[in-house]
Amino acid sequence: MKVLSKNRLVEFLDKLSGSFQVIAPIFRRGELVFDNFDPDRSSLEFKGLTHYSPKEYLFPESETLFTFEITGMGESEAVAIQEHLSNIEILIWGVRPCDLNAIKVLDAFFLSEPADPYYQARRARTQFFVLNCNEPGINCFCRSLNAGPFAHDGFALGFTDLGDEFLVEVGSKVGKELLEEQNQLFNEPADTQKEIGRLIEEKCKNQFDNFLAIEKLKAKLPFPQVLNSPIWEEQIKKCKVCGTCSFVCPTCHCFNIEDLKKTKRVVQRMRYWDSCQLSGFTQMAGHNSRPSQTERWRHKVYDKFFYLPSKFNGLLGCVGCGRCIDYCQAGINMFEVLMRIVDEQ
Amino acid sequence: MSSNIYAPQPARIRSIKDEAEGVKSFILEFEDPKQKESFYYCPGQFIEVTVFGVGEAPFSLSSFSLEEGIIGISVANVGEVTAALHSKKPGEFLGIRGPYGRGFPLEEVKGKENILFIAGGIGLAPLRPLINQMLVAQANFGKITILYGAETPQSFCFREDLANWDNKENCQVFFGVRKSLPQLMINGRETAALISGPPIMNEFAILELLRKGVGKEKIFITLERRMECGIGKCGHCAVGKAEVCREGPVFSYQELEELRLTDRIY
Repeated sequence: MKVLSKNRLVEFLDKLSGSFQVIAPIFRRGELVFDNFDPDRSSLEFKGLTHYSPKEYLFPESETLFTFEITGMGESEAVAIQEHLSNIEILIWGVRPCDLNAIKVLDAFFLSEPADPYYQARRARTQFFVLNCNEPGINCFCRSLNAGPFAHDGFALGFTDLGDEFLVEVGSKVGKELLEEQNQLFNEPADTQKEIGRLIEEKCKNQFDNFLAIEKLKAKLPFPQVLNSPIWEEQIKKCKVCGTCSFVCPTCHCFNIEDLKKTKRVVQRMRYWDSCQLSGFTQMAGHNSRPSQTERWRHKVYDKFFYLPSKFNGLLGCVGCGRCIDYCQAGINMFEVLMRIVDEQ
Repeated sequence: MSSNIYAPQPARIRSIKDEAEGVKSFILEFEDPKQKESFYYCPGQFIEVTVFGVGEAPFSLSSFSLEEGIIGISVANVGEVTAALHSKKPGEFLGIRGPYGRGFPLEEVKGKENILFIAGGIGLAPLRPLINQMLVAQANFGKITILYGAETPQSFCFREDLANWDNKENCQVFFGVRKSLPQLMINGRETAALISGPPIMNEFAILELLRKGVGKEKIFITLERRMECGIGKCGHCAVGKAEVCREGPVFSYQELEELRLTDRIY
């Protein structure tokens, strides 16, 4: 463990920007978002949860998979195919523990056979510097899902905000190297500083108002009375079918593939985020396998809390970040729905 | 040749045949001789076909040939990619990925007295190579009965095949699923059924088969879903926890009953 004075963080990230595209939470048009860190223009934020999670740097909102260039006509027609795999080294500072745990879900999904080459290329070139949470947000329930408020693995470096300085924990070989390269910026922690770090974690854990009995929830979902419960429809009749809950979700990973004609002979094959909450998601020529919003919403809950864990060794598809509650236009509260399922007979 | 799992592999149209009103069958061929030689599939599997400049869509493989490298699909003109395919001519260029998914389980239906095929419209396409394959290896299978229906007389597909099949010893073809299935006299316990059609037909057929005592584990159905990526990543085709493109598109009714939970299968 090391200590880094808060006013030296900018210097540290600036040094790293020689080798990485450095990303950090900053305010842009009144919204806290991950964006390029620019020491002259951006001021770093140490509080709050970004609008989007860092998933957009591993699985962007839209990306080009291929460029097809068509030559010749008829029988002499041919296509040159160019693939677009990322080769940019990225470092993200200020990743919250819940979002870091969400990346475990994305990894399980995208890196399981057959591995997704686009995600794989980005993932291999991305380093995460975690910022542990000093206090939970109003809709946070990461603690119940074991996804926060502190992270102890899966990062390059972990930062705990002690007030005037950060306690810095090494989490990987790369993290150790990066820290050692800039050793002059860091100090050895005093025993009291380590103890304060532990106390902040304890205090934050005790501040959660939201507690979900997750094992009870998982056990209840397969029951027909839960599957056919009126709760789903009661809650979802308010839904405006905008898909925001999926787009802000750090674990949602569904996508569309579509061709975009740049010129008559140049085509880009794109993929972009899709949401199982949108009515077109399961629309086929002539039928829709999930025609009602109630079915679509229920599917989402089952996917995150039942299907995904059954496929990936118990891994939950929700990390309790609360964004789907924060940003729901209709005021639908995922946490309350889950609580009702747990509580009802 | 790209090893990227999303990369369409260059192919050309060898021949095109008018199959029925709004339906054409295409024989496709990889450009690369190695790919052409090594292509092999099981009936019920599908490929993703790219019309460059328009998009990509999944199609069941509708032809089976012992000659390697024959890739047949039958396409109803119902959307953007299918319309673009319909406007193509022999010799023109396409992209292919696949084959993908789990096809019909030949081993599971071996040894049954009756093999029942139930198909509606273009739904006969994935069953066609299976029927041909079974008729070649008839010794391993019992009596084959094919029930086939379509919305209009003009939309009957594979007419020559239907006539050929009906002429074979041990194989009979009946037209009209809703009419012929209830009248069919079968020993349910000695029957295996393979179904491919629109959801409303599938539902009718499955309920009727259960009534006749056919085991849930001997009813196989191929599901039509929006399989955009074909490799279990895009999320569109899920039925419960299963990605239809990887774990299906062929399922037994027993599997579907366990899987469905939050999803409709009809």
